[in-house]
Amino acid sequence: MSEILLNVDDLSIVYKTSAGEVRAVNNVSFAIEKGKTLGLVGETGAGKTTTALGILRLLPVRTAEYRSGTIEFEGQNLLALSDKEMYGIRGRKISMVFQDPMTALNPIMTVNDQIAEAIRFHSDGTLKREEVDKRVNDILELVGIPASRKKEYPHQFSGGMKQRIVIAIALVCEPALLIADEPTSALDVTMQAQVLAMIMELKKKINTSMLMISHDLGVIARTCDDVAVMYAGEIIEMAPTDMIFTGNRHHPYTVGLMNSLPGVSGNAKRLRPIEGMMPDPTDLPAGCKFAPRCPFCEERCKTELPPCTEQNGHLVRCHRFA
Amino acid sequence: MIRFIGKRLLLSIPVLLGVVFIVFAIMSLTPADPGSLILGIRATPEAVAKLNHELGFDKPFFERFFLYIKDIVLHFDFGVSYMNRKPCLQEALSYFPVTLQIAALSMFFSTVIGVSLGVFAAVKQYSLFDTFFSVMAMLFAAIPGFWVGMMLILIFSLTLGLLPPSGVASWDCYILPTATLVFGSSAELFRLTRAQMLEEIRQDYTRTALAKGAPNRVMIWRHALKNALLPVITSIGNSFGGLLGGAIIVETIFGMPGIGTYMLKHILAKDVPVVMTCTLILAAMFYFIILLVDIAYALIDPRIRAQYARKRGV
Repeated sequence: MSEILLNVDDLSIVYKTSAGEVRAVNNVSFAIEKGKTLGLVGETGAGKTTTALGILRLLPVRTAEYRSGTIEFEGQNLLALSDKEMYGIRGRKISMVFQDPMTALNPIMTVNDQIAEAIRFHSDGTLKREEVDKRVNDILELVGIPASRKKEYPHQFSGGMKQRIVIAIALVCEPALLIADEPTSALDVTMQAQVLAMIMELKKKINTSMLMISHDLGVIARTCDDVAVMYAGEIIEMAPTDMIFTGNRHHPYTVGLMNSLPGVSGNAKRLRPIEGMMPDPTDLPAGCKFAPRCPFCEERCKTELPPCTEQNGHLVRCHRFA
Repeated sequence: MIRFIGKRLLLSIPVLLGVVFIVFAIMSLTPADPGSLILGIRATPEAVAKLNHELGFDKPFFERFFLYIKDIVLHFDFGVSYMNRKPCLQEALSYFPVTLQIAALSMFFSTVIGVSLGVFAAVKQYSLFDTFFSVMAMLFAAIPGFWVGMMLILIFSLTLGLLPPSGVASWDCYILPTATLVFGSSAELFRLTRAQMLEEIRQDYTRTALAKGAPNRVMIWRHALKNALLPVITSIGNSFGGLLGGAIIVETIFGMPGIGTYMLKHILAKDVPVVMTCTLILAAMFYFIILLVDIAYALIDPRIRAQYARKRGV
């Protein structure tokens, strides 16, 4: 067992809205080991991004509230740090790549300035201009953008290149943890593969750990060591990647996810989507959150929260395996 | 960029010609001729007709317009006032500094006050600070300037005796007129800045900035504000036009010898050459300010700069 870099324990986050309290993340626990990649899968609204932003403490201050839990990073609880201490963590220790590269960059700042800014925030002001320049050039080269274009503005780059720039910003300080929030879902398919391969290569090069958020099981299968499946703000299954994709001991939701994937080989079959919708996060079911859509739903599923059971590092939150 | 500025300066010629034409046409429609205006009601019709002929007023409209433009272009001659027979341009320009000072001072202060309070209100949305200034801004945007002016005189001059109610004798004469204009226009700028900032703060790139490790204030002042400023700058430019116009009211209330009072006096006397000259000066000023706004736009936003560059040679 190698060293644990990030340990999220019992994290709950709610949004206070006029329609009531939105329970976006509910008692989520997971850990990421040094150098490893954890995948966070789930459909839109499952709480993946809230979890990610919650780790960086970038949630809207006025509406979001941490209800419970700790986020331990390199031995210190991020939730206990001051704002100023958080500035030193963000971008330096933990970076984030956002979903939509079209809007993630400041439209009126040159690419060079946006990357250099990230370097300067984390140097004590003694860094020489030439050094900053050199680091900007180096990281641009690493993400495959000619350094000669660094004086250009975001609108002069294509979507794929913008995402490369966003990745350059995230990695320029060589963070210990990279949070990639659907880094490829806004790109077209050919770009997706390229950008993904690049992220994985850079991750290896600077030996960073990663939290990969995606709704795309293909992306997850290719990149992650472990996978956590999220549903309605809860982690309902977590296991090493190969165990998620094989075996029979699965949460019905995970099975549903797999069934709604089109297969490459074999006969073309109709996809089997999961019937129904995710529950309203302002009014979650008392028992298992998936119960209303579950084909194996029993009486106790509707009233009792199923426990998490483990078998060889494979966690499932379902009454069937309890 | 230089080509763009040059092009815009050239374009000012037809714009100003248009302004001159419209004002000239309106003034020609008024039932008054310079002869009877200058000589008064007791003059004989013969004398009036003679003077009108000398002044060229009996010529057809388009000929008069053409001659007027010719005098301006060839001799930079804007004609003489019907009222006191002095050259219009020199006289108008002698009144201009007062107006310009009031307008510039109030533009400066309303920008500083409106923009900074707008940023703070947006950052602290829903706070007491935000609510208080939003209500105040709504109030001051709605209150007419002349009422504010009179109230300020009532309070600070007549009751408290702190500031002079009229004149331009010393620098403190400018405080109340400037304040009168600042109330209205800073309220406008406050509302716009606040709305723009609220929008920009919610943009994704501000989150990227924070994720890089930017302190909140850097995110707000370096990233969000610069993006929010574009429409604000337009509004500042427009409000300068408003301030020049508003100066007429303010100068009248505070008895200041600016272009506003000067123009008003000559409008009432149907002194066409003076009105024409003043209008032309104000229009040229306004055009120049708008040009500055466009240049500022290009300096701030590279996308607009790129547009100007693409239109090269057009």
